[in-house]
Amino acid sequence: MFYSVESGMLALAGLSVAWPWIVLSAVAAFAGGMWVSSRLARRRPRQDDLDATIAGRIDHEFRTPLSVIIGSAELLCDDTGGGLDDERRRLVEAIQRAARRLHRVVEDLTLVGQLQTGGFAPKREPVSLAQVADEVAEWNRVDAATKGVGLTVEVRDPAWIRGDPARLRQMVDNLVTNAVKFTPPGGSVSIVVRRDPGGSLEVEVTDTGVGIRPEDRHRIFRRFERGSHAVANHVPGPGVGLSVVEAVASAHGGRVRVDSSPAGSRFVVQLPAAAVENQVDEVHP
Amino acid sequence: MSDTPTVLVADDDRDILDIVTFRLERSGFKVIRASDGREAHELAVKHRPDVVVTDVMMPHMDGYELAKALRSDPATSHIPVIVLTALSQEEDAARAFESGAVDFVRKPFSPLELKARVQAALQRR
Ligand SMILES: Nc1ncnc2c1ncn2[C@@H]1O[C@H](COP(=O)(O)OP(=O)(O)O)[C@@H](O)[C@H]1O
Ligand SMILES: [Mg+2]
Repeated sequence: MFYSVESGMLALAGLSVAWPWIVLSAVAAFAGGMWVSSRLARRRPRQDDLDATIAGRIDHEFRTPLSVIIGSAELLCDDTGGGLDDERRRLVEAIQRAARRLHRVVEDLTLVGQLQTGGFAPKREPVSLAQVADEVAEWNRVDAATKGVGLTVEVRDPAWIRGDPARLRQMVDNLVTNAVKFTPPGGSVSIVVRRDPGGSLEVEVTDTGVGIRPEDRHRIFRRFERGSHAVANHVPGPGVGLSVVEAVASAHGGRVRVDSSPAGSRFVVQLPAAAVENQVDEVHP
Repeated sequence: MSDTPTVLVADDDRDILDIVTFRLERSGFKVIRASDGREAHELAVKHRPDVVVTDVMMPHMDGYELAKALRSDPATSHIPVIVLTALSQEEDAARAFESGAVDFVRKPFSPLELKARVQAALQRR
Protein backbone atom coordinates (compact mmCIF):
# COMPACT_ATOMS: atom_id res chain seq x y z
CA MET A 1 0.00 0.00 0.00
CA PHE A 2 1.39 3.39 -1.01
CA TYR A 3 0.41 6.72 0.44
CA SER A 4 0.94 9.72 -1.77
CA VAL A 5 1.80 13.30 -0.94
CA GLU A 6 2.27 16.19 -3.30
CA SER A 7 4.87 18.62 -2.11
CA GLY A 8 4.79 21.21 -4.88
CA MET A 9 3.07 23.86 -2.82
CA LEU A 10 5.61 23.56 -0.09
CA ALA A 11 8.24 25.02 -2.35
CA LEU A 12 10.29 27.52 -0.43
CA ALA A 13 7.64 27.92 2.24
CA GLY A 14 9.05 29.29 5.42
CA LEU A 15 12.24 30.72 3.96
CA SER A 16 12.13 33.65 6.30
CA VAL A 17 15.24 33.12 8.35
CA ALA A 18 18.41 35.03 7.55
CA TRP A 19 20.85 32.82 5.73
CA PRO A 20 23.99 33.15 7.82
CA TRP A 21 21.97 31.83 10.65
CA ILE A 22 21.04 28.77 8.61
CA VAL A 23 24.57 27.95 7.66
CA LEU A 24 26.14 28.75 10.98
CA SER A 25 23.60 26.77 12.93
CA ALA A 26 23.95 23.85 10.53
CA VAL A 27 27.69 24.00 10.94
CA ALA A 28 27.35 24.32 14.66
CA ALA A 29 24.95 21.39 14.80
CA PHE A 30 27.47 19.32 12.84
CA ALA A 31 30.25 20.21 15.14
CA GLY A 32 28.06 19.42 18.09
CA GLY A 33 28.29 23.06 19.24
CA MET A 34 24.66 23.44 20.16
CA TRP A 35 25.20 26.52 22.31
CA VAL A 36 26.48 28.44 19.30
CA SER A 37 23.39 27.61 17.33
CA SER A 38 20.95 28.49 20.09
CA ARG A 39 22.73 31.80 20.67
CA LEU A 40 22.63 32.64 16.99
CA ALA A 41 19.00 31.66 16.80
CA ARG A 42 18.18 34.41 19.28
CA ARG A 43 19.83 37.16 17.26
CA ARG A 44 19.26 36.58 13.58
CA PRO A 45 21.12 39.09 11.38
CA ARG A 46 18.99 40.58 8.65
CA GLN A 47 20.91 42.88 6.31
CA ASP A 48 21.62 41.54 2.84
CA ASP A 49 25.14 42.98 2.96
CA LEU A 50 25.94 41.00 6.01
CA ASP A 51 24.38 37.92 4.41
CA ALA A 52 26.56 38.28 1.36
CA THR A 53 29.71 38.80 3.41
CA ILE A 54 29.10 35.76 5.55
CA ALA A 55 28.08 33.69 2.53
CA GLY A 56 31.38 34.59 0.91
CA ARG A 57 33.37 33.69 3.99
CA ILE A 58 31.64 30.34 4.45
CA ASP A 59 32.28 29.54 0.82
CA HIS A 60 35.91 30.45 1.09
CA GLU A 61 36.50 28.74 4.40
CA PHE A 62 34.99 25.45 3.24
CA ARG A 63 35.90 25.34 -0.42
CA THR A 64 39.61 26.06 -0.09
CA PRO A 65 40.41 23.32 2.46
CA LEU A 66 38.14 20.92 0.55
CA SER A 67 40.20 21.62 -2.57
CA VAL A 68 43.33 20.74 -0.64
CA ILE A 69 41.86 17.45 0.61
CA ILE A 70 40.35 16.43 -2.73
CA GLY A 71 43.38 17.55 -4.71
CA SER A 72 45.93 15.87 -2.46
CA ALA A 73 43.98 12.61 -2.42
CA GLU A 74 43.72 12.65 -6.21
CA LEU A 75 47.46 13.25 -6.58
CA LEU A 76 48.25 10.47 -4.10
CA CYS A 77 46.10 7.98 -6.03
CA ASP A 78 47.49 9.01 -9.38
CA ASP A 79 49.47 6.13 -10.98
CA THR A 80 52.36 8.40 -11.86
CA GLY A 81 52.55 9.27 -8.15
CA GLY A 82 53.37 5.61 -7.75
CA GLY A 83 53.77 2.96 -5.14
CA LEU A 84 50.66 2.98 -2.96
CA ASP A 85 49.98 -0.46 -1.53
CA ASP A 86 46.41 -1.73 -1.23
CA GLU A 87 45.94 -0.63 2.34
CA ARG A 88 47.13 2.91 1.68
CA ARG A 89 45.10 3.16 -1.48
CA ARG A 90 42.00 2.21 0.50
CA LEU A 91 42.79 4.87 3.06
CA VAL A 92 43.10 7.47 0.33
CA GLU A 93 39.77 6.32 -1.09
CA ALA A 94 38.24 6.77 2.35
CA ILE A 95 39.53 10.36 2.36
CA GLN A 96 37.99 10.88 -1.07
CA ARG A 97 34.61 9.51 0.02
CA ALA A 98 34.58 11.69 3.13
CA ALA A 99 35.54 14.73 1.08
CA ARG A 100 32.75 14.04 -1.41
CA ARG A 101 30.29 13.82 1.45
CA LEU A 102 31.46 17.16 2.81
CA HIS A 103 31.39 18.64 -0.67
CA ARG A 104 27.73 17.65 -1.05
CA VAL A 105 26.84 19.41 2.18
CA VAL A 106 28.71 22.55 1.09
CA GLU A 107 26.89 22.56 -2.27
CA ASP A 108 23.52 22.09 -0.55
CA LEU A 109 24.19 24.85 1.97
CA THR A 110 25.44 27.16 -0.78
CA LEU A 111 22.20 26.64 -2.66
CA VAL A 112 20.12 27.13 0.48
CA GLY A 113 21.98 30.43 0.96
CA GLN A 114 21.38 31.49 -2.64
CA LEU A 115 17.68 30.77 -2.28
CA GLN A 116 17.67 32.84 0.86
CA THR A 117 19.33 35.90 -0.70
CA GLY A 118 17.57 35.53 -4.06
CA GLY A 119 20.94 34.76 -5.63
CA PHE A 120 19.85 31.46 -7.20
CA ALA A 121 19.97 31.96 -10.96
CA PRO A 122 19.82 28.53 -12.60
CA LYS A 123 21.45 28.20 -16.02
CA ARG A 124 19.28 27.29 -19.01
CA GLU A 125 21.41 24.86 -21.02
CA PRO A 126 20.45 21.66 -22.81
CA VAL A 127 20.79 18.84 -20.27
CA SER A 128 20.03 15.15 -20.70
CA LEU A 129 18.38 13.78 -17.58
CA ALA A 130 19.48 10.31 -18.73
CA GLN A 131 23.09 11.45 -18.62
CA VAL A 132 22.51 13.07 -15.23
CA ALA A 133 21.11 9.77 -13.92
CA ASP A 134 24.12 7.83 -15.20
CA GLU A 135 26.60 10.23 -13.63
CA VAL A 136 24.81 10.26 -10.30
CA ALA A 137 24.67 6.46 -10.29
CA GLU A 138 28.43 6.44 -10.88
CA TRP A 139 29.01 8.76 -7.91
CA ASN A 140 26.95 6.49 -5.65
CA ARG A 141 28.11 3.12 -6.93
CA VAL A 142 30.90 2.54 -4.41
CA ASP A 143 28.84 3.62 -1.41
CA ALA A 144 25.95 1.38 -2.45
CA ALA A 145 28.22 -1.60 -3.13
CA THR A 146 30.09 -1.14 0.15
CA LYS A 147 26.77 -1.20 1.94
CA GLY A 148 25.45 -4.19 -0.01
CA VAL A 149 22.67 -2.23 -1.71
CA GLY A 150 21.96 -2.86 -5.41
CA LEU A 151 21.87 0.20 -7.67
CA THR A 152 20.38 0.20 -11.18
CA VAL A 153 19.63 2.82 -13.82
CA GLU A 154 16.97 2.38 -16.47
CA VAL A 155 16.74 4.99 -19.18
CA ARG A 156 13.66 4.98 -21.42
CA ASP A 157 14.21 8.44 -22.89
CA PRO A 158 17.28 10.67 -23.30
CA ALA A 159 15.11 13.26 -21.59
CA TRP A 160 16.61 16.52 -22.80
CA ILE A 161 15.53 19.61 -20.96
CA ARG A 162 16.80 23.15 -20.70
CA GLY A 163 18.22 23.68 -17.26
CA ASP A 164 21.16 23.87 -14.90
CA PRO A 165 23.28 20.72 -15.23
CA ALA A 166 25.10 21.02 -11.90
CA ARG A 167 21.89 21.72 -9.98
CA LEU A 168 20.00 18.90 -11.69
CA ARG A 169 22.83 16.49 -10.80
CA GLN A 170 22.71 17.76 -7.23
CA MET A 171 18.93 17.19 -7.16
CA VAL A 172 19.10 13.60 -8.40
CA ASP A 173 22.16 12.90 -6.24
CA ASN A 174 20.27 13.96 -3.13
CA LEU A 175 17.48 11.52 -3.93
CA VAL A 176 19.90 8.69 -4.64
CA THR A 177 22.11 9.25 -1.59
CA ASN A 178 18.97 9.29 0.56
CA ALA A 179 17.71 6.09 -1.03
CA VAL A 180 21.04 4.33 -0.40
CA LYS A 181 21.27 5.74 3.11
CA PHE A 182 17.79 4.62 4.16
CA THR A 183 17.96 1.15 2.58
CA PRO A 184 19.36 -1.70 4.67
CA PRO A 185 21.96 -4.11 3.22
CA GLY A 186 20.46 -6.59 0.79
CA GLY A 187 17.99 -4.04 -0.55
CA SER A 188 18.01 -2.15 -3.81
CA VAL A 189 17.72 1.30 -5.33
CA SER A 190 16.62 2.01 -8.87
CA ILE A 191 16.70 5.16 -10.95
CA VAL A 192 14.32 5.37 -13.92
CA VAL A 193 14.20 8.16 -16.48
CA ARG A 194 11.15 8.24 -18.74
CA ARG A 195 8.61 10.34 -20.59
CA ASP A 196 5.10 10.00 -19.21
CA PRO A 197 2.06 9.71 -21.50
CA GLY A 198 1.38 13.44 -21.10
CA GLY A 199 4.86 14.25 -22.48
CA SER A 200 6.45 15.31 -19.19
CA LEU A 201 9.81 13.91 -18.19
CA GLU A 202 10.19 11.97 -14.99
CA VAL A 203 13.13 10.93 -12.87
CA GLU A 204 12.04 8.26 -10.42
CA VAL A 205 14.17 7.01 -7.53
CA THR A 206 12.75 3.91 -5.82
CA ASP A 207 14.18 2.05 -2.87
CA THR A 208 13.33 -0.96 -0.71
CA GLY A 209 14.29 0.94 2.43
CA VAL A 210 12.70 1.84 5.75
CA GLY A 211 9.92 3.99 4.29
CA ILE A 212 8.59 7.34 5.48
CA ARG A 213 5.72 7.72 7.90
CA PRO A 214 2.65 9.51 6.54
CA GLU A 215 2.98 12.27 9.14
CA ASP A 216 6.57 12.96 8.02
CA ARG A 217 5.96 13.16 4.30
CA HIS A 218 5.32 16.89 3.99
CA ARG A 219 7.63 18.00 6.73
CA ILE A 220 10.80 16.41 5.36
CA PHE A 221 10.80 18.80 2.39
CA ARG A 222 11.43 21.75 4.69
CA ARG A 223 15.03 22.55 5.35
CA PHE A 224 16.58 20.99 8.44
CA GLU A 225 13.53 18.77 8.98
CA ARG A 226 14.31 15.09 9.29
CA GLY A 227 12.05 12.06 9.54
CA SER A 228 11.40 10.31 12.84
CA HIS A 229 13.32 7.22 11.70
CA ALA A 230 16.43 9.28 10.90
CA VAL A 231 16.30 11.05 14.24
CA ALA A 232 15.57 7.94 16.32
CA ASN A 233 18.31 5.90 14.66
CA HIS A 234 20.92 8.66 14.45
CA VAL A 235 21.17 8.33 10.68
CA PRO A 236 23.60 11.13 9.79
CA GLY A 237 22.59 14.10 7.65
CA PRO A 238 21.99 17.86 7.89
CA GLY A 239 18.39 17.66 6.69
CA VAL A 240 18.63 19.99 3.71
CA GLY A 241 18.72 17.46 0.83
CA LEU A 242 15.01 17.32 0.08
CA SER A 243 14.56 21.10 0.35
CA VAL A 244 17.19 21.36 -2.38
CA VAL A 245 15.39 18.72 -4.47
CA GLU A 246 12.18 20.68 -4.16
CA ALA A 247 13.79 24.03 -4.95
CA VAL A 248 15.66 22.77 -8.01
CA ALA A 249 12.57 20.99 -9.33
CA SER A 250 10.39 24.07 -8.98
CA ALA A 251 13.08 26.32 -10.48
CA HIS A 252 12.75 24.11 -13.58
CA GLY A 253 8.97 24.32 -13.51
CA GLY A 254 8.66 20.85 -12.04
CA ARG A 255 7.44 19.20 -8.87
CA VAL A 256 8.24 16.30 -6.58
CA ARG A 257 5.98 13.46 -5.54
CA VAL A 258 6.63 10.88 -2.86
CA ASP A 259 5.00 7.51 -2.26
CA SER A 260 6.06 5.36 0.61
CA SER A 261 5.20 2.25 2.54
CA PRO A 262 7.09 0.25 5.17
CA ALA A 263 8.52 -1.69 2.20
CA GLY A 264 10.21 1.32 0.63
CA SER A 265 9.90 4.76 -0.89
CA ARG A 266 9.55 6.25 -4.33
CA PHE A 267 10.38 9.85 -5.19
CA VAL A 268 9.38 11.17 -8.60
CA VAL A 269 10.55 14.48 -10.01
CA GLN A 270 8.33 15.54 -12.85
CA LEU A 271 9.50 18.25 -15.24
CA PRO A 272 6.83 19.75 -17.45
CA ALA A 273 6.64 19.16 -21.19
CA ALA A 274 7.13 22.88 -21.74
CA ALA A 275 10.70 22.56 -20.55
CA VAL A 276 11.45 19.65 -22.90
CA GLU A 277 14.10 20.40 -25.50
CA ASN A 278 13.04 18.45 -28.59
CA GLN A 279 15.57 19.72 -31.08
CA VAL A 280 18.55 18.52 -29.14
CA ASP A 281 17.51 14.85 -29.39
CA GLU A 282 18.59 14.81 -33.02
CA VAL A 283 21.98 16.34 -32.38
CA HIS A 284 23.00 14.02 -29.54
CA PRO A 285 20.94 10.84 -29.69
CA MET B 1 54.59 27.91 -28.43
CA SER B 2 57.75 26.58 -26.80
CA ASP B 3 58.14 22.86 -26.11
CA THR B 4 57.44 23.23 -22.41
CA PRO B 5 54.52 25.56 -21.83
CA THR B 6 54.86 27.78 -18.77
CA VAL B 7 51.94 28.31 -16.41
CA LEU B 8 51.89 31.08 -13.83
CA VAL B 9 49.86 30.02 -10.80
CA ALA B 10 48.68 32.60 -8.25
CA ASP B 11 47.03 31.66 -4.96
CA ASP B 12 47.58 32.89 -1.41
CA ASP B 13 47.01 29.37 -0.08
CA ARG B 14 50.33 27.53 -0.18
CA ASP B 15 48.72 24.09 -0.21
CA ILE B 16 46.66 24.97 -3.29
CA LEU B 17 49.81 26.29 -4.96
CA ASP B 18 51.57 23.00 -4.20
CA ILE B 19 48.74 20.86 -5.52
CA VAL B 20 48.41 22.79 -8.76
CA THR B 21 52.19 22.85 -9.17
CA PHE B 22 52.54 19.09 -8.59
CA ARG B 23 49.81 18.32 -11.10
CA LEU B 24 51.08 20.62 -13.81
CA GLU B 25 54.74 19.66 -13.37
CA ARG B 26 53.87 15.96 -13.50
CA SER B 27 52.10 16.70 -16.77
CA GLY B 28 55.19 18.35 -18.24
CA PHE B 29 54.47 22.04 -17.68
CA LYS B 30 56.88 24.56 -16.24
CA VAL B 31 55.29 26.37 -13.29
CA ILE B 32 55.92 29.83 -11.88
CA ARG B 33 54.32 30.50 -8.48
CA ALA B 34 52.95 33.70 -6.98
CA SER B 35 51.25 34.13 -3.63
CA ASP B 36 49.42 37.39 -4.29
CA GLY B 37 48.04 39.35 -7.21
CA ARG B 38 50.75 41.98 -7.36
CA GLU B 39 53.55 39.41 -7.39
CA ALA B 40 51.65 37.49 -10.07
CA HIS B 41 51.40 40.63 -12.20
CA GLU B 42 55.12 41.36 -11.90
CA LEU B 43 56.06 37.78 -12.74
CA ALA B 44 53.66 37.70 -15.69
CA VAL B 45 55.17 40.85 -17.16
CA LYS B 46 58.69 39.51 -16.62
CA HIS B 47 58.25 35.90 -17.80
CA ARG B 48 55.29 36.07 -20.24
CA PRO B 49 53.81 32.67 -19.28
CA ASP B 50 51.63 30.75 -21.76
CA VAL B 51 48.70 30.59 -19.31
CA VAL B 52 47.81 32.20 -15.97
CA VAL B 53 45.78 30.35 -13.33
CA THR B 54 44.66 32.68 -10.56
CA ASP B 55 42.70 32.60 -7.33
CA VAL B 56 40.23 35.47 -6.77
CA MET B 57 40.62 36.58 -3.16
CA MET B 58 44.29 37.41 -2.66
CA PRO B 59 46.18 40.19 -0.92
CA HIS B 60 47.24 43.39 -2.74
CA MET B 61 45.50 42.66 -6.05
CA ASP B 62 42.62 40.25 -6.50
CA GLY B 63 42.23 37.80 -9.37
CA TYR B 64 39.78 40.00 -11.29
CA GLU B 65 42.13 42.98 -11.08
CA LEU B 66 45.00 40.78 -12.18
CA ALA B 67 43.04 39.57 -15.22
CA LYS B 68 42.12 43.17 -16.11
CA ALA B 69 45.69 44.42 -15.68
CA LEU B 70 47.02 41.64 -17.93
CA ARG B 71 44.39 42.28 -20.56
CA SER B 72 44.97 46.03 -20.70
CA ASP B 73 48.75 45.69 -21.22
CA PRO B 74 49.63 44.87 -24.87
CA ALA B 75 52.64 42.89 -23.61
CA THR B 76 50.42 40.45 -21.71
CA SER B 77 46.97 40.80 -23.28
CA HIS B 78 47.40 37.58 -25.30
CA ILE B 79 47.87 35.41 -22.19
CA PRO B 80 44.76 33.37 -21.37
CA VAL B 81 43.69 33.68 -17.73
CA ILE B 82 41.84 30.91 -15.88
CA VAL B 83 40.14 32.02 -12.67
CA LEU B 84 40.08 29.49 -9.85
CA THR B 85 37.73 30.54 -7.11
CA ALA B 86 36.22 29.56 -3.79
CA LEU B 87 33.29 31.89 -4.42
CA SER B 88 30.08 30.23 -5.44
CA GLN B 89 27.71 32.99 -6.46
CA GLU B 90 26.62 33.05 -10.08
CA GLU B 91 27.79 36.67 -10.46
CA ASP B 92 31.35 35.61 -9.72
CA ALA B 93 31.61 33.71 -13.00
CA ALA B 94 30.21 36.70 -14.88
CA ARG B 95 32.72 38.99 -13.19
CA ALA B 96 35.60 36.69 -14.12
CA PHE B 97 34.63 36.76 -17.81
CA GLU B 98 34.06 40.53 -17.74
CA SER B 99 37.57 40.91 -16.37
CA GLY B 100 38.91 39.07 -19.39
CA ALA B 101 39.27 35.51 -18.06
CA VAL B 102 38.80 32.72 -20.62
CA ASP B 103 37.72 30.09 -18.11
CA PHE B 104 36.38 29.78 -14.60
CA VAL B 105 36.90 26.83 -12.24
CA ARG B 106 35.14 26.59 -8.90
CA LYS B 107 36.77 25.17 -5.80
CA PRO B 108 36.81 22.39 -4.80
CA PHE B 109 38.30 21.25 -8.08
CA SER B 110 40.00 18.15 -9.41
CA PRO B 111 43.65 18.82 -10.31
CA LEU B 112 43.21 16.63 -13.40
CA GLU B 113 40.29 18.71 -14.54
CA LEU B 114 42.22 21.93 -14.00
CA LYS B 115 45.07 20.51 -16.07
CA ALA B 116 42.59 19.73 -18.86
CA ARG B 117 41.32 23.32 -18.75
CA VAL B 118 44.90 24.61 -18.98
CA GLN B 119 45.50 22.41 -22.03
CA ALA B 120 42.25 23.62 -23.60
CA ALA B 121 43.26 27.25 -23.03
CA LEU B 122 46.62 26.57 -24.70
CA GLN B 123 44.95 25.00 -27.71
CA ARG B 124 42.49 27.84 -28.11
CA ARG B 125 45.19 30.50 -28.31
N1 LIG C 1 14.56 7.36 0.55
C1 LIG C 1 14.19 7.65 1.79
N2 LIG C 1 13.74 6.67 2.63
C2 LIG C 1 13.36 6.98 3.91
N3 LIG C 1 13.39 8.22 4.43
C3 LIG C 1 13.81 9.21 3.65
C4 LIG C 1 14.24 9.00 2.30
N4 LIG C 1 14.61 10.19 1.78
C5 LIG C 1 14.43 11.11 2.75
N5 LIG C 1 13.95 10.54 3.87
C6 LIG C 1 13.58 11.24 5.13
O1 LIG C 1 13.56 12.62 4.86
C7 LIG C 1 14.43 13.30 5.75
C8 LIG C 1 14.99 14.53 5.08
O2 LIG C 1 15.86 14.16 4.00
P1 LIG C 1 16.99 15.18 3.56
O3 LIG C 1 16.36 16.51 3.42
O4 LIG C 1 17.71 14.61 2.41
O5 LIG C 1 17.94 15.27 4.82
P2 LIG C 1 18.98 14.20 5.44
O6 LIG C 1 19.20 13.12 4.44
O7 LIG C 1 20.19 15.00 5.71
O8 LIG C 1 18.32 13.71 6.68
C9 LIG C 1 15.45 12.26 6.15
O9 LIG C 1 16.03 12.59 7.39
C10 LIG C 1 14.60 11.02 6.22
O10 LIG C 1 13.91 10.97 7.45
MG1 LIG D 1 19.67 13.59 2.46
